[in-house]
Amino acid sequence: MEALIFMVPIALALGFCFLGAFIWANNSGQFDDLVTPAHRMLNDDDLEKTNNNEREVNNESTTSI
Amino acid sequence: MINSNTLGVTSPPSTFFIEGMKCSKCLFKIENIQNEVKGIKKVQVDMSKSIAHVNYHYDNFDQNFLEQVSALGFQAKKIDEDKSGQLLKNENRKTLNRIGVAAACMGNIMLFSISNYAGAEGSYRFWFDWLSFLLFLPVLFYSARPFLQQGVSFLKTRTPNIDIPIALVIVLGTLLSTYHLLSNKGDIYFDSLAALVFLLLCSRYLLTRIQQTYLSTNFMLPFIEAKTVKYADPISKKIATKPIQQVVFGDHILIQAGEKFPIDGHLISSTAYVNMSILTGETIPEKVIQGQMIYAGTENLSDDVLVESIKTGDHTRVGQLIKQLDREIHSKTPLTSLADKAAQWFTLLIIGIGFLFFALYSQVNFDEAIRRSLALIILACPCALALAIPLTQSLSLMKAIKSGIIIKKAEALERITKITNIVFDKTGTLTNGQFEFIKWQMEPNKIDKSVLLELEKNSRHPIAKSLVQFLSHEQLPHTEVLQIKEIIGQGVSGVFNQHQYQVKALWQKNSNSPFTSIGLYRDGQLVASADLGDKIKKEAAPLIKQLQQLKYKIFLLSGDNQRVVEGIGKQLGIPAEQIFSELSPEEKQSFIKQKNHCLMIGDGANDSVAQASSFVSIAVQGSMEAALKASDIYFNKHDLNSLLRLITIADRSLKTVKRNLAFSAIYNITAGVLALLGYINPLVAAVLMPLSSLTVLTISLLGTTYIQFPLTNKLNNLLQKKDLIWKH
Repeated sequence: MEALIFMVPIALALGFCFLGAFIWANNSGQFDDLVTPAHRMLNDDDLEKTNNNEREVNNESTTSI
Repeated sequence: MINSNTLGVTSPPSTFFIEGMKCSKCLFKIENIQNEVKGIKKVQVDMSKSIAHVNYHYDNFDQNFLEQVSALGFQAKKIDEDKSGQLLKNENRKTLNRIGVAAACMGNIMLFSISNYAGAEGSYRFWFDWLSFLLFLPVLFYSARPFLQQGVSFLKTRTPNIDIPIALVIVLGTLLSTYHLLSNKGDIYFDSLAALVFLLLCSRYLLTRIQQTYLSTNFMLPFIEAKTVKYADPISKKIATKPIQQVVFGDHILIQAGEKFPIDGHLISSTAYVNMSILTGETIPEKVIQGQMIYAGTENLSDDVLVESIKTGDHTRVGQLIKQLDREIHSKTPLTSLADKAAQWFTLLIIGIGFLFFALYSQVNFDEAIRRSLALIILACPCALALAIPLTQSLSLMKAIKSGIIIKKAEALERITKITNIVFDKTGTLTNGQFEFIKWQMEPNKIDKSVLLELEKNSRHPIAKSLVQFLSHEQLPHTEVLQIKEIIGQGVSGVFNQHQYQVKALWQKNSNSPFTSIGLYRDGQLVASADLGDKIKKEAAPLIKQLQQLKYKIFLLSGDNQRVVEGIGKQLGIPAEQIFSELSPEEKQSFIKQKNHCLMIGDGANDSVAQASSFVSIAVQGSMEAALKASDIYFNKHDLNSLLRLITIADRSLKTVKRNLAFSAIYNITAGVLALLGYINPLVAAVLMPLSSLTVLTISLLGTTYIQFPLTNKLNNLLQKKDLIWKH
């Protein structure tokens, strides 16, 4: 049972690290708008820009088949 | 993310309210503006509030942004996101931090108290108890502060609220647990107290967040749009602009076509056509002659006109109407909702019983008296009521919002279930609120149509305009009409192909038609006639039939003339004795005051006085901001069927609330009696309490998640969609 002397403080410290992380995230505004980010995730316009060349290659290969 | 201010001086960001944003695609389109329009640095959309924050590089490019948004098919209006928005944001973050702290502490306390319940002994028990105590301190002093503050304000002002028993339980529980901790005997309740605070905070947060998100920004749009006005400088005679607040008596103000008049005044130009529907509800535009009064809030349908200012701001007729409205809203006694009443009554009773029992039983056995009365107070804590009923309500509100119904006050949902009379306004509610071509009574040939178009093309009369709009969609041969003359009050005449043509209004005696008719004469002989008027909404007739089947009494009130109103009432199947026409706003109000449990659906400021007096009031889309201010509910979709959905949701919500009340009554009575008899100790009570809350929460969730709308309604929607497909 002596293990508890280490376990309890470690458990508490871990717990409060996450609480600190939560408070930091909250204060930096991550939970202000819960609706828009879910939609923004679906946007892959930026992918098109960076992978433009790859996509063209893909298109060609599909048309050739 | 790079801080936008590090790149030098930027103009302050602007906030816009964007109408018509529905899906992810709309979001991308709007945010993509930052790549398309120069000078715009970043566009960030908040879909839950339908607003966009726009950052600029150096100069302000509001105009460019607005142009691009309207080119994409949305409507944007610049709004001032004032300090209250920022305050709300901070308040939300604070509450979330409180919840986070309560959750972390509660979880850790539970770990230790479980060991203690399982039978930890000796120094372990001692340390675990003290750790629980230490972990409870942040919950008490930080998380539970809102409840304790309510308790303090009750002591100061003696106005009761539902947080008092919560504050009492927290304070008593803490004191007792601390006493037990110090004296090293008896039970410790830090775990259940922390859980209580956590659950209560969660439910409150959910409720306020839903209310803020969907209700605030939509109502921020200003009432009279013009913030600056164009006026003729008395000395230089040049047109200049100045803020509306600086307009004084006698200023000559220029109002362009399509603008709303910002002031009350006399017309200086010779004639003007004015849409007075904001004051009268009448759709047919009124002709105003030089020197006659023009009222603020009405719309200029003719070309640019000059008006001499007489009254501004609060002193205008509309301003007075709005002022009266404010009084109405404040004089309305807010119905304390079912939840509040029940929770207050219930907790006072429980505390009373607890103290009475303690006073009587402490003479027999002091320790046992404390244990039993505390068990009672913990068990019968109002959390089941205070938690589940707001949750049911907020879930119902959510459900309503998803169907395009915005409910301003949750109690309105409750009141809807008591409705027996439903009063409809005509203009803009049952009808589209616009002058439109309805049908030909006598359809002319293509050449005559073309002549008609040429004759009406240059007329400033709104009836002519709606006819021109309709005819311009048809393919017609070009005709050249000569000698076009417009005689005020007589119509338009002209010559084509050596025939004398004339357009004028047809006055049919004994006609029941709700429409205005015009006729085209060739050499004095009638060759065409058309009906023009305000079209009835497609869904109106089936809706009214369904409502009548549901045993609601339907009334139709309008400021419009008798012929029009009765014609429309007849088409919709409303009995003639329930149709009232030519009513002033004040008459509408007194009519509604006579009826009990009256639901008023209206639109336009002329209804808002009446709406404030009604039991429940609904504003449909496109209505004036003033009407929104006075009404409890707002239909976001252009669809009257929302009313049926609203009734279904309200019904289900009330049923779920009742089910919750029944469950919690049974639970509290049995458990309370058992606690007083000594069968339940505070420890078991602390386990039972969250279990009962959980049950009640499940009831709320199940009760509101699966709401089925009437089938007929769905069919209606399908039919409408088909119609739309055909149109395109």
